[in-house]
Amino acid sequence: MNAILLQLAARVIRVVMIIASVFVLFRGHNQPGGGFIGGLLAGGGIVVYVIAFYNHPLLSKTLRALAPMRVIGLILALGSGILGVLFGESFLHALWWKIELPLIGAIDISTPLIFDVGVYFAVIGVMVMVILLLMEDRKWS
Amino acid sequence: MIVFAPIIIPLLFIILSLSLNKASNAAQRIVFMAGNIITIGVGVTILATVLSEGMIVAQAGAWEAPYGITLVADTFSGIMLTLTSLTVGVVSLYSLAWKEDNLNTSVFYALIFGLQMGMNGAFVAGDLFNLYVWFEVMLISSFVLISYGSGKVQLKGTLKYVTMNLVSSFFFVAGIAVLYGEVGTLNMADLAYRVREMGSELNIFAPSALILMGFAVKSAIFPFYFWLPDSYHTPPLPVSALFSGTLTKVGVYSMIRFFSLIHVEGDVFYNQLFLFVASATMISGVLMATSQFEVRRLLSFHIVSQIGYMILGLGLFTKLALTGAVFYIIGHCVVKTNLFLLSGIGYKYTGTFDLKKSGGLIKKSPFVAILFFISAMALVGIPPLSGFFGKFMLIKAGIESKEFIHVASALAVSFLTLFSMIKIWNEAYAKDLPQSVLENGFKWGRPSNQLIVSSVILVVVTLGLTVGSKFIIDVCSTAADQLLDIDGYVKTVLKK
Repeated sequence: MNAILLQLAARVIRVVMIIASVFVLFRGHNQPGGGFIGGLLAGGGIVVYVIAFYNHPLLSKTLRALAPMRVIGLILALGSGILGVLFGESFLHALWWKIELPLIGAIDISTPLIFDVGVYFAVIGVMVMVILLLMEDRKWS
Repeated sequence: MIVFAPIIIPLLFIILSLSLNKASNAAQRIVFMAGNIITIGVGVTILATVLSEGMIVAQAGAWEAPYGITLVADTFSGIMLTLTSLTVGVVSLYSLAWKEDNLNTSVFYALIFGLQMGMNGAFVAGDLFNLYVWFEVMLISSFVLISYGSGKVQLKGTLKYVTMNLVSSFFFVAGIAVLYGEVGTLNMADLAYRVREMGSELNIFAPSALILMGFAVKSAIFPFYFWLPDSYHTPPLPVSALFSGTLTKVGVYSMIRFFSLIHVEGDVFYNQLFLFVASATMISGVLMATSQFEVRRLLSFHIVSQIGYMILGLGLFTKLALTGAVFYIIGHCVVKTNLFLLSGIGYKYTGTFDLKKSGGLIKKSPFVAILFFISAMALVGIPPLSGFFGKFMLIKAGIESKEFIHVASALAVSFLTLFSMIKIWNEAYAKDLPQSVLENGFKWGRPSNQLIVSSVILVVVTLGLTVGSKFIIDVCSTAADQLLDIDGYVKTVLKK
């Protein structure tokens, strides 16, 4: 069954939720937010999209392509801790770099940010895996 | 820096196993065993470093204690790291040859490393909240592992296991919250320092009671042990063996660590409570075991009973008692895992875990019978096998502290343990196969050699505990010294 209204809404909701998730991810640096909440928001966007377009033939293939994100996320999170060691400090030591960008100005890049991005990816990867398993169970894929 | 290794290495291998999910079976197995060997190496290195240079303290991200995440490894942690990684390594070798229950997948390998990461983290955590987090890491891996097989029986066992452990986590974290409100810190060294500085002003009875509830469920002591025998016999045998050897020990370890640091003389928790709980756990566990005929259930009830001995060491709280408790933990972990592995080998021969339907193993394979005999006698504590040293030290410490009732119950429980082991011996090994089984077209199975080799490794370790008993007891008594030297712990961690 194709629910046209839901499909129209899902396209918008997906975009809004993923943008919001990225916003929450970066906001988490000094205020409430962060990788975990951001990842869940993005995952929520994906879920809405999957419910609307569940019988689309390419859907599960696209989702399978996203699944390795959980490994990439873990590597980023672990790597951010190891970076501290490589620079001669202790494990998980926070390192900060200031980068000058045209138009935006100076921004801070740090290993905690890399860690958060890692968590963000890992959460999305796990969400996608859960969705895929549920789709298999419902014989949607 | 080395203190981070027991956490980072398993995490690295989780990533490796997950990313190798499309690789060939052989490559996955090689990575799996390599990860186990490296983890054992890390455990041994930490133990050696601690023995030669004293406690290792590390601060994650260089945030000084008590503000940051502190990792502490002393001799007791070193022993536990080595012991659990060794056990996990041997069970991993065993699980590769098990060939049932769909165990050889990359997800299973990742879960084993996840379990190991949680346990290792709990052993080096120097912070109560961090300890809680590692407990959760360990539990979440174990939730999935225990439901392997996904039959009706497994789900029944899993349901009990998950419910009880979630409830206990709730008590644990509630206790932590109340403790933080009362004392204002969760770093264990800082807690010990503050409780001793202003002991009379603080009311830590309520948080300690809540935290004790949390630990009590996880380490399966009286009266919270009922979930353990109901759930440990349902998952695939390698998983049962792994859980029986290691998981409850993490609870006991945390209990000894926490209550030795927090409690001051004259406290309710100081002495009598633990002694009572220890005796009750020993007796109720062993009495329930005598009526069992499913070999895994029988062994599970014995886990409960032997946790009592470890708690007895905490209750007596003298140097000798703690030495005995640590030695007992080492011996028990190896032997109990091996008894589970051997019951799996018996299953491969006869196709059943039910003692009434099995038999004749001594004629079929005298070698396996010898392996079982050594392990069973080590569990009972027949000299000169490993269980004897631990029990001897505990009972001597009990007599020195004039706790005769608890000494008597410890001795009585030993006899009943012997009774249970003789029951397994008689039913599974000595007697002939029952006529009813033979009539139904019985065929002997054949376990692969790798299964038997894994069990031989653990028997060699058990015998090694006897041969090297002087060295091991010295190490254990160093661990006991460090557990009793609370000022030393506080000074090393807080640098004051």
